[in-house]
Amino acid sequence: MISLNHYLVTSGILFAIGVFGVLTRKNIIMILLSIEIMLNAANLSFVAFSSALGDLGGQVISLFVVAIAASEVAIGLAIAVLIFRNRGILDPNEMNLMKW
Amino acid sequence: MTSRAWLILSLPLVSFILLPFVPEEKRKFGGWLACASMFLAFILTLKLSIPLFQGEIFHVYHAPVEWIALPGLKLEFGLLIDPLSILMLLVVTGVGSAIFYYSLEYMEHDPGYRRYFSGLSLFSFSMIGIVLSSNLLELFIFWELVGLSSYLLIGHWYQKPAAADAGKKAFLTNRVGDFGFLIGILLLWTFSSSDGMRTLNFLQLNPAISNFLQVSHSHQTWFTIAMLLIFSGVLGKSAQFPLHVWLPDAMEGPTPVSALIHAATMVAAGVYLLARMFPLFALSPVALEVIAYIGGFTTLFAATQAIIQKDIKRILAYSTLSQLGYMVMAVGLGSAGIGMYHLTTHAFFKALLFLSAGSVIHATEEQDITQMGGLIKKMPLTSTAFLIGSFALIGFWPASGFFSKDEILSLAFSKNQFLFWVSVSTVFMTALYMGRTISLAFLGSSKTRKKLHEPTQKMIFPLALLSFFSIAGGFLGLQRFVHSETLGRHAEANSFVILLSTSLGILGVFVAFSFYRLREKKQKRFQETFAWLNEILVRKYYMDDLYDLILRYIQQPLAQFLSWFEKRIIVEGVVNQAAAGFTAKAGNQLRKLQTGRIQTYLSVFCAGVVVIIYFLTIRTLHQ
Repeated sequence: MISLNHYLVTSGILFAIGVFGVLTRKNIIMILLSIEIMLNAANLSFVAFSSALGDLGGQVISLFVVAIAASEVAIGLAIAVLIFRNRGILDPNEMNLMKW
Repeated sequence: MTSRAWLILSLPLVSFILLPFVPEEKRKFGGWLACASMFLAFILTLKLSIPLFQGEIFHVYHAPVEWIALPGLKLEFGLLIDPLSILMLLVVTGVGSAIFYYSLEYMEHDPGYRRYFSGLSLFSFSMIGIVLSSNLLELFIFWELVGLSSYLLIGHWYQKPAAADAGKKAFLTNRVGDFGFLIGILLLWTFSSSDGMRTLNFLQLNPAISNFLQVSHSHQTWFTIAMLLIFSGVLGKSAQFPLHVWLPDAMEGPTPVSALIHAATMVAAGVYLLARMFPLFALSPVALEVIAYIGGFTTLFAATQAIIQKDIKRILAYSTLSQLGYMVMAVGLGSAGIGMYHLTTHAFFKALLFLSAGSVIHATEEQDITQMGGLIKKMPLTSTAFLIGSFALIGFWPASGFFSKDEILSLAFSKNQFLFWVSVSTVFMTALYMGRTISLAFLGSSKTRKKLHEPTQKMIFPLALLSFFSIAGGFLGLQRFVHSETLGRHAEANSFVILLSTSLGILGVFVAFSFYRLREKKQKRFQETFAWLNEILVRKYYMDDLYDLILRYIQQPLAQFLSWFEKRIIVEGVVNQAAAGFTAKAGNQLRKLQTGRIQTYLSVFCAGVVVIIYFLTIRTLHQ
């Protein structure tokens, strides 16, 4: 029997992987992907709680999250592509034109 | 009555405020304005004093303004009107009016005419303020204002370096004394607690301090120290040894200023303060003793220096020092009343002497008595005035100086034989230098070819008035104002003392006259024999050199050390290296936290979240 705790642990592991990816990767596309992983970890725990507590609210929220993640990726990737076209870089640390 | 007193105080202030607005073309009007305000103040004072002449005694304390109200201290801005302050007011406004009137002509062609009169008005305002003050702090403020106006008037001809220096010297010397005065006031404030309220009010100080002294014996010592500190203010203002050095230099100011401020009134403010606080001084025999000896010493010390001076104003300045010494000594010997009496008569005849000297200077444009000679034929009125003043100063009957000086001598005779002989020998010295001045400047043959003429009525009238008071001052019954239980009784006239002082006076004048009748050769030989003495006296007993040494070898290195300490240790060490250096280094280190790398920030952020969650979990677990 798969209990709530299994879901939560899996969700925690996924989230940690996402954080690790954001912190270590130098490629902005990989960072965006890692953010997706973190969002999905959150989705997983929402759905798990929803089914455990018998409350549909959690599933509704996770649908919202999916929708927002989609638009976020669309905008984020668009920015990444534009920056790459203009300056030929993918490392976010080098995107420092707006720094003083 | 109180409103009259307030009016007396504010009249000179009004003239001081209005004078700068008088246009230069109407300068005459400005002079008359100042003169009129002073004269009005004098009339009002006379009105105030009428009951006193009729034998009535009153004390009025009027304080409509609550000035400082702190827990444990309440001070009012008030007036204290009693026989003592009215007598002093009479002197200040009376002599003041005469001198204001005299100045109208004396300063007529001076470019700083309006500045001069506004200075005089400011002075009169502050002096009246001192006289009427009801508490020590109020008095101290006016005391400083008087010092300021004295500075302004000494330096009236500020383009002349000597005058500017003299003003500075006067101000700085007074600061030394006033510093002690202020500490003394603060000490008295801490001592005076009656019913938990501290006070500086003259009327309440006496019982408060008596309470304090009853508590323990060690308090007596502290109280004596406080009173001596207050006396140090008197040392400065009344130019007693060792702070007397400024007064002779102050003669750089215009002569009427010397007459009013540096002879008749301001320098007498110190004696007035002694009289005002006499009940307190009387509680400390040691302080009185010190005061008496300093006064007695100054008397003789200054009189000897007057003998060799050639500048007529400086002679009078040293004689002022000497007479102030008499007054201070009288207070120290236990009778402030006698001191105040001499102050009053001295104000008349010293103002007279200065004004007639001023009239001589105005005509001859010369201050050196060896260059004058024979003035009595050319300026008989002025010379008569000067002679009357000299008579009063030496103390010949019936001039006013006779009465007051003999009271002082009799007092000394009954209290302290040593001081008596000091002051009696000063009578001889006084006669000697006044005889010398008269014989050099007014008798003999004229040394100047200028056509001399008497000044106009504006200068003669004050001379006549002051001459009258110099003679009649002893018969006006002014003693009644100050000879009271609180100020010390008057001394019994002693026929031995009177005979001795009068004969010494005659002897002194005779010696001076006959010396200058001698042939030039004999005079020369005498002067050569005593050249060393002359040298000492000309160098003012090396007092100025002593101050110079103190300044050069003590004050200067100290100041340099402090300057070095401030520059190297405080500014460069503590400020530049320690404070600024630490900030710069700390900033440099902290700067490294701001890497600009998103991922560093994120790591810290995540670590923070973990820490927060950890603590929240622990709290839930404990509950």
